[in-house]
Amino acid sequence: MATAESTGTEADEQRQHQQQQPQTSSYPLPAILTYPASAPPHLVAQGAEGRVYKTTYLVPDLQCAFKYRPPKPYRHPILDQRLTRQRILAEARVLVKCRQEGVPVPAVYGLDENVGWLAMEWIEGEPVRAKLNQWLSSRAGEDVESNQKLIDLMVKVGDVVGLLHKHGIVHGDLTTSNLMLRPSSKMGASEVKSDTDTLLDGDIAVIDFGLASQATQVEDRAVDLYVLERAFASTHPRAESLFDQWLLSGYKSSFKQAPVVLKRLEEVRMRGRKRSMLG
Amino acid sequence: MSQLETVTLEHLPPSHKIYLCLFKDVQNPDFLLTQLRSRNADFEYAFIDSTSLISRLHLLAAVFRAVNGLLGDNLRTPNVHSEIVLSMSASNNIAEAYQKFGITSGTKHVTIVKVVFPTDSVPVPPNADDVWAHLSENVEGTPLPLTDDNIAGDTDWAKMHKVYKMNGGPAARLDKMSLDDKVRRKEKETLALGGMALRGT
Repeated sequence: MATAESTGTEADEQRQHQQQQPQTSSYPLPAILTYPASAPPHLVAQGAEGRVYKTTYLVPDLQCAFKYRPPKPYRHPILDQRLTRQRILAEARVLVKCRQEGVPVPAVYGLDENVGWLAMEWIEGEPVRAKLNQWLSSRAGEDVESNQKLIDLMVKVGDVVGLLHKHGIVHGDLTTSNLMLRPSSKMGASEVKSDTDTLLDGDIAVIDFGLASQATQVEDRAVDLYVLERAFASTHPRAESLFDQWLLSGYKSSFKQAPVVLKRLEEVRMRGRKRSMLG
Repeated sequence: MSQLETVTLEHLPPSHKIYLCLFKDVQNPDFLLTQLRSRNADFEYAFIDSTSLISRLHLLAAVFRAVNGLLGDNLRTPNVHSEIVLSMSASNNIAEAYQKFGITSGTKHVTIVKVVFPTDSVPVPPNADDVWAHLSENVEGTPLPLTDDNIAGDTDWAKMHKVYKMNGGPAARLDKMSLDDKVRRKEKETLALGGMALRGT
């Protein structure tokens, strides 16, 4: 994508390039995405295992996140199909379970485990990572540790992670990119004061359950928290100090067994997330 | 006037046409059931008892899954219409899907889906007028467009909670919350879609 810094010519060239070669052309789409839709698939994320497209599902006014796990040429076809199938189903099962329990995650709209796709609800808003960084840069040099908006955000995040764990789900890749901040249903236009003041408002939704598992072990939960803590430390160092006090207090409020997990978190911090020292 | 609607679903090829209609107060469910059981080829429709419909989208999700199975040559039942009935279900048992979502002699309101596409033996499939002519001649009832409002009063919630395993938690939680009825219906629709997607896995 053309950045603000690039010159006009460069931007033009890039735009032309994009028009000539739609971004989807370099990656084969599953057959189902080659048929007409009011919003044709638009690649929004690419991971090691799969791609996420934004498109519509069933009807023109239903937006969806369409996750596709393409066949891996380096794997034996039978093994490849089995792994893809298992992973699509595992992710869908976790999402459906969360939704049944009222944990804010994308709804499952449909899937084809043999082809390797999963159509999910499109979550509006932006990742916490982007919002938080915008907010922090608008307050450069300020002491943010006692800011109520930031505290509220940390508590909200902890609360949602606690809900996940309470229902036997471990996310496996908790980062601020996998936490969405979406406009709250209660938010009205009248409440808008200044742009940066409302940046951290909204409801948290957790996305990307590609590495999630249904686990109830203290260790897995502690590692989940540890990974999130490291993510805060590396992406938002100024907010890191609030993790212990506020995020974990949100966690405790929604998850009764939190104390055991927090005790284990201390141990995990001492040794890192790999207990076995292997792999 | 024809009340048959031609639906275009996202991500399905234009060669496959989907026709929908709702008939209220159907007088001859036994006749329809007999045609279905005798596998009369002229009665290749998906007949869905409207008490088993949460919303229009609920049905469309099943239609999509069935047509997707047809395209991928991956049907678990003899044809796309029986596959629609199975696709409504959260379990792989075909007979059970027919009992819960198909018509019975006690059925009052029927939602009908017809999927047509060119085949080697029938290169030009019946068009909307042909389908409507056959339906209006054989279904004795009041035809209406399939809208959320037209089916809202018919949904058998006890049955829906049971088939989509919302009892013992989700249904009670949603029923307790002070939600707008439409929002509650939407969330239950969402849970149904999840149950359908994970059918038999």
